[in-house]
Amino acid sequence: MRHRSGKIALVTAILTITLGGQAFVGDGEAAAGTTTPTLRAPIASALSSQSGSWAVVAMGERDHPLDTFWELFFRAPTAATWRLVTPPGVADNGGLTVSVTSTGSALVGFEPSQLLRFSPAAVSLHDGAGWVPALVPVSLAASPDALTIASNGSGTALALVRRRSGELLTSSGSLRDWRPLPGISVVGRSADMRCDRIGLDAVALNSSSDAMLGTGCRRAGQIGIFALVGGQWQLDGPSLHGSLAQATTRVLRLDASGSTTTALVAEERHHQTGLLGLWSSATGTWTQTLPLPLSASTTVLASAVGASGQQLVLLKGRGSSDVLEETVGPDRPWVERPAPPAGTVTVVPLADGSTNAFSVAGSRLRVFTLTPQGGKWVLSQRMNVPIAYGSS
Amino acid sequence: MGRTLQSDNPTIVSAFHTALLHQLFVVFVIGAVLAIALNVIRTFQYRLLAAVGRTTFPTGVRWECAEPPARRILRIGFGILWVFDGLLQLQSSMPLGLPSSVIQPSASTSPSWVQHLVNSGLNIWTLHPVGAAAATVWIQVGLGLWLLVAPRGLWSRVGGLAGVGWGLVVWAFGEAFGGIFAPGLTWLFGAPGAVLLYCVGGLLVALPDRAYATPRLGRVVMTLGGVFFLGMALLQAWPGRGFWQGRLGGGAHVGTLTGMVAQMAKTSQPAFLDSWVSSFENLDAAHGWAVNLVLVVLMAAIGVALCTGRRRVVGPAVLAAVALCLADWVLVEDLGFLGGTGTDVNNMVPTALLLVTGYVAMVRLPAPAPAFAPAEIAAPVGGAVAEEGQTARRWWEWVSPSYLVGTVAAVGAAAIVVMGVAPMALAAANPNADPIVTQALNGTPNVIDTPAPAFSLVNQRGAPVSLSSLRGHTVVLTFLDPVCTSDCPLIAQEFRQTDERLGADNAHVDFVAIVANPIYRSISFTDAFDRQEGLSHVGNWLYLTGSVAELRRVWSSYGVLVETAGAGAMVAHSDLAFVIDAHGNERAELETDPGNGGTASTSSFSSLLLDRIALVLHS
Repeated sequence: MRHRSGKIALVTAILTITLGGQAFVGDGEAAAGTTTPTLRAPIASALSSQSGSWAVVAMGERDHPLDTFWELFFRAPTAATWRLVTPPGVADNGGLTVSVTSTGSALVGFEPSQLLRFSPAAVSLHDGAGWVPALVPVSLAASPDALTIASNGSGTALALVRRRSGELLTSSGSLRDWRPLPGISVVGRSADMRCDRIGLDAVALNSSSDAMLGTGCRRAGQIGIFALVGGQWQLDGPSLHGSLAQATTRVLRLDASGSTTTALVAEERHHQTGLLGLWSSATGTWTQTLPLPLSASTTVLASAVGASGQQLVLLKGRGSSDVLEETVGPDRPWVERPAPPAGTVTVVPLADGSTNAFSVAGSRLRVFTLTPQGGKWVLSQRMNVPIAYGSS
Repeated sequence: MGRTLQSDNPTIVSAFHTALLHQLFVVFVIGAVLAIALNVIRTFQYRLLAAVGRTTFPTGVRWECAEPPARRILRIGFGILWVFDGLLQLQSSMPLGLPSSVIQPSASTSPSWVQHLVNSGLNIWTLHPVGAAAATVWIQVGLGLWLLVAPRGLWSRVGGLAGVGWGLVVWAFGEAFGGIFAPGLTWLFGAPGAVLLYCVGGLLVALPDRAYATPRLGRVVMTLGGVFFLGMALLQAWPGRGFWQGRLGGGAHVGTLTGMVAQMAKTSQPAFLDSWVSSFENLDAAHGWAVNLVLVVLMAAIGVALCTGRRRVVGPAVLAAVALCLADWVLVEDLGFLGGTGTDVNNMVPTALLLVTGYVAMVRLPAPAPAFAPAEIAAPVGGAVAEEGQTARRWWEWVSPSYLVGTVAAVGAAAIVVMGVAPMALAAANPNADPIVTQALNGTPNVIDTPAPAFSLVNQRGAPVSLSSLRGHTVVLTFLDPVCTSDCPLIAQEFRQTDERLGADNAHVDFVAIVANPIYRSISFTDAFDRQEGLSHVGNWLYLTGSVAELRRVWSSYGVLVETAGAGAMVAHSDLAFVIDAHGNERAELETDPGNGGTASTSSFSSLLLDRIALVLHS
């Protein structure tokens, strides 16, 4: 009897181990909570000013990072078509960050990819017709506003880089020698707890060449925009009121190249995310749109800022087709524009009030135009871009 | 970047065959030496016997006529399996194909800690593919021969243990623990791994004689087998694992078993086998639920029957289990080794072998030892201890010719195993890949002896450097793009690694790179590249640049193509390196394509470069 019961125990033990082992096989995943919006602005972006329009467009095999090539296009205010002006000499699979001045200069930074650990850059004084090499000695942050150059021609530039938990570098003229901007670690923390800053998301230089910084705020009801005034970082972003006073925020875009400073902000209340467009006048007064509510699955595919401060966002997640939303002014809701053509990856608000959509299939580019009065997109330009697949 | 090694790479295959031939020659030498030793020992023994008046060799010792039948089945069965597995390792695709076609797929669904462990073993193979593949052949053939030629005694038992040792290595690193930690575990597809069953076989061979003297061992084997079958039946019946489905949704999705059989049906195999496997695939696709029910019931019934320990029940259960093993081996596992890079016969044959052995151990006990005259009574193997009540005798008085032959043959087989294990152990201790890997990627370096083209540029600190200023040192020269995202950082690391491996000799060597980008060519970029690659403080590292005209002149003189493509593409340039001797003569030209950039290809280039530098330094 003892022999049999021992055998049964052995059988039970081995079966338990076998089946128990299999029961443990599987994936475990724990969701991490967050206190600020998780929405991010993608590298695909566009910027229009009185001196012309610039668009960063992903082309090639966009499902494969090493065969995705980011192209830069420029369109002069008087021109009818776009030109390919991607700076040569560096593989740009990681993405491009563009900053332009009111005088038509552009500073382009290469997001590092693969084994590169710093960011080559290039400066053009002539609308992308020629480029001079520049260098950010560490990796640029993955943000469309990680790099900015002053419009006053001084050559002053700021770069948001990935070193440590985020750092801001400044260069005065050479664009090859950079030094850390001091005090960044305490911005919005010890000095000003109205925001309780998290992250560094966007950087800009305003018309006075003062540095501006866009961040997330853990403290509800505050926009994390800071300005460097007299060597001190000061909270410049507005407080939110009404139901938005409950929202935590994160700055997705920050642009000060024109006469007004423009910001695109994600806000989150009760697990609901929305977008806000903000403008700052010359007197420093902030105005904002009504929030654009987003579903939980919505992502931003592209964003753009127009010459007069209007903003465009291309969204994915609400239904089968992508959605294009545009700001029309303070205290007004966002306006949904006609659905962009299939394959649209970047949208650009032009100075004449019309909108361009860049539709991409591999190396083929089609530009569609939506006039202010028109209700549908019209093909306005075709281009084959000579993409060197495998060169990365 | 992008060159990858295919499993039929002619350089590797040729080196593999050459290594095997060299080792076969060593095997012949081992055989010859042992044959001579055998004759010498016999002659010596004959003279010793003659000195005490005996004119014949001893006729035998007790164990020669009494190996337990179960042990004999086990020893010969697993001996043949090891030899067969060793012969499978002779496939030309084994050096490069085993990691990618066998080991990585088997570990792909396992937890990360298993993959990490498997990768650590895999690293040894990928760094030394030819040596590892050849060593595996001889280890497995040697283990098989060892079991076959050593029927009894210490050498035989040690052979069993050697099989356990190597089997555990293969089970852990080669089979990812037979997939027991991965989802989808099923005996029908190979669990718990063929080699683990080889280990069980080896362990049983290593047991002392007394273990086979009673039916207890057989009953233990049967019980363990029964538990195993019951567990596997439960897993087979567990819902949600896909075994109850045949073909779903009009054929778009197939059940787990149907999918496995369909995959097997696609491998190249004889037509009759293809027909059988395809027929079973269709049967399971149409009646997946019924097929699985039959399997579950059969496995559970076998499990219960084996656990009873009763001869009348166990016998038919073993018969049914062997039939099920054969059916699964043919219809599901497709004989285990057909198609792809087969390394063994999979789990069904060793399972059947263990069950038959267990049954025989239970029902057929060894015959009692016959009585011998005192002069012929054996000391235990090795002659160290006498049987109780007997007088210890000198070896030449009891060692029979057949025992001597068996022992010498076992020593020979063990020597073959050692011939495999020794280079494998050395390979495991060497973190740098063999030069053959980079030669397979880039070809054999060109050996030349012509004056190297002169250049005069500036280094990363702005100081002028010319080739003539480096006279007296061996110069290793290459061309790198400072903003390159793929090859150039890898090549720089290969240079740095070579520099470190040179040791004290690096005082006589300068590693020189020249910028290969007409746009991003200033000192800012060479300096940023140096900092990125940790080369800023390497004393004999020079990264040179100059005007576009100066650079183009140097590129042209060394035959380096540099092209700017635009549209977001990297500057394309030739991946070349030159070894220039202390007198300014080019002595070798090497391609530096780092392949996939893995540890194998990069450290292999370093090994090759080290060889070339050593040749120049010491010529």
